[in-house]
Amino acid sequence: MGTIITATGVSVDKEINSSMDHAFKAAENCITNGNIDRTEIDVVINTGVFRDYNLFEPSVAILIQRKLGISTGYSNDKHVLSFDLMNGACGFLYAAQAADSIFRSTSMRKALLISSDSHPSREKVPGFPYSHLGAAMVLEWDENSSKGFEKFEFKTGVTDFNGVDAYMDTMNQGSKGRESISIRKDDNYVERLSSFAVQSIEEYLKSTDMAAADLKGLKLLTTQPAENFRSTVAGAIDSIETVGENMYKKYGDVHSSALNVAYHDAFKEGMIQENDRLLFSASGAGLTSGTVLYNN
Amino acid sequence: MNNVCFESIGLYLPEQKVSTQNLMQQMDPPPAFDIEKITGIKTRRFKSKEENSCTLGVDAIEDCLKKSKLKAEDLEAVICTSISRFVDSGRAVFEPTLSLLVKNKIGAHRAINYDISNACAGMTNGLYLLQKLIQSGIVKNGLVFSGECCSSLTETAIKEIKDPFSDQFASLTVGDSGVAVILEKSQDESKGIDFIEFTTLSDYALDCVGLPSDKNSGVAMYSNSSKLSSMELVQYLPRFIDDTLKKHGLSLEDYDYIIPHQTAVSVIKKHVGAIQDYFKVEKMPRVLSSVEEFGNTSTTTHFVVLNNSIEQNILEKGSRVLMMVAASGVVIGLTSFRV
Repeated sequence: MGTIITATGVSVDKEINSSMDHAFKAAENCITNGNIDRTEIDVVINTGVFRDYNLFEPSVAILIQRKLGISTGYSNDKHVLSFDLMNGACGFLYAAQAADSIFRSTSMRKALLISSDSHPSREKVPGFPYSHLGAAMVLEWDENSSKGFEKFEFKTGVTDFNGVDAYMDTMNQGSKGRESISIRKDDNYVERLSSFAVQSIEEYLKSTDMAAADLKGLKLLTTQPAENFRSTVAGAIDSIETVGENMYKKYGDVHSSALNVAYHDAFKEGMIQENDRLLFSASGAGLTSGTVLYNN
Repeated sequence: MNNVCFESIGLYLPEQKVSTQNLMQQMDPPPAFDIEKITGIKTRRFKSKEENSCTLGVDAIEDCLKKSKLKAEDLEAVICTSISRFVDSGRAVFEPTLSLLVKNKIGAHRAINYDISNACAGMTNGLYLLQKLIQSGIVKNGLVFSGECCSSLTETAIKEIKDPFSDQFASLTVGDSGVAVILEKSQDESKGIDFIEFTTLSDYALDCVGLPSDKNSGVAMYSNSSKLSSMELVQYLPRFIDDTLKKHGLSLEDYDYIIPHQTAVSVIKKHVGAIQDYFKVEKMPRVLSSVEEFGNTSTTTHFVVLNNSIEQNILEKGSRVLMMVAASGVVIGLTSFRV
């Protein structure tokens, strides 16, 4: 038994600059790709960070739920929980852990995870470091499967080094607060993040006590905040291979959608096979990393 | 054995008391209605210039840890649920998360952390997720907190309300606060959380939205009061209570206290009246409230009431409490627990 990925979808149309539109389109594609009955979705979790108009209430997840027509009115026996979970590029793995723990302790069985980022102005703005894109994934509890996520591990640096500071300055943006976002990145952020990711993966593999033979077949999927990030991480760990194309080269920094898009594309292109063992590694959100094994 | 209980609860209320009369005097033109009379809210607390979402959260956590047997370094999860995300007087952060900043500040370095955003349902949503993490054996304990600077909404509303039917009137009912709650696995079956349940009526998703103002600096909240207070919507609360209590083998008679969402005295009366009519009971559980004194403190509202009720020894040992959330979305949530 375990939490398995049953469908994925992405929204990569370069003409779309709204995070809401990207999230909706990715979710619709995901539902269609997996032939998902939307009335069976119990939980909607949005892990996107940069949202249209810098909206802070209600959750983006609820707006997507509404647009998708999932349980919009009251029903006596079907109750949906929708919320946003924010943790930069690592949010997706925390949401997967949240869904997994919900499945393990309730009768809920199906979760839709969505993510998207775009400049709050819904326009292409020079200097905004993240690509406008959306991704969605349906996770499902399978009682009889030997597939699914294994142990989730998260780690944060004991430091006041933020790496990235992204904020809206509500007092100094006049009437332009809906269109403004400030993002400052430290020059050495990616370098420190890749070292932290390597350390986290090594600790994870050690804790799972995996045999060298199993380690050899592992396929690594990482977040990719820079072109050489994935190769730097994989190169530092013995016997591990990356899977799929270089997402940064293909799309740029797709931030909160990185792992979801990497899985979607690699699976679609036949690079991920049945029974493959995958290692998801998320890095970002200050000095944070998340690592989890997935039996495909 | 999957029993999870409140290990400790912490509260921080800023010192500055602001009366509704005082707010009305700042408005130009003066409001056509007596806001205190309509809402029943007499005062609320506003943060000082030096305070922000982080400091309000940290002050509440310090209060919580003082009452706890756990130390910050023992915490295995830290979840932030603030709607307002201020780290100073004006900057609202998206990255890093408030949970990371606060976790590092208090020294909870072992804890997993993330931020949850689900409007006023945030605290309850955070507690739900932490309860599931504990029940599924991922963590043994954790902290959920919120530091809310709702006064930033009031500042905008005072500048922008020019019309007696303004969609920013609800921003005059809010107050600032911080709360923190530690949950842990409990061996004692006589107390703890019976259930936390939600339903989301996304038909109403656009009827209360919060975002930066497009007229001035600052943030604003726009709500369709007539739709949100319609009997059609109000009726869903007792229906959800009925469906949920049946699911868990409980009835309204099992409750000694209810803590409604603290929006306004009149709204609480309306909700309680709807529940009483629906269940056709003569005697309702005792309604706990602090909205007259502290206003609507959004995510923290139930825990402001609960903390004060505990400190005033109002809650009897062994009693059962039902917290009722009504949040933008519209999210209806219920938390049932024994003290």
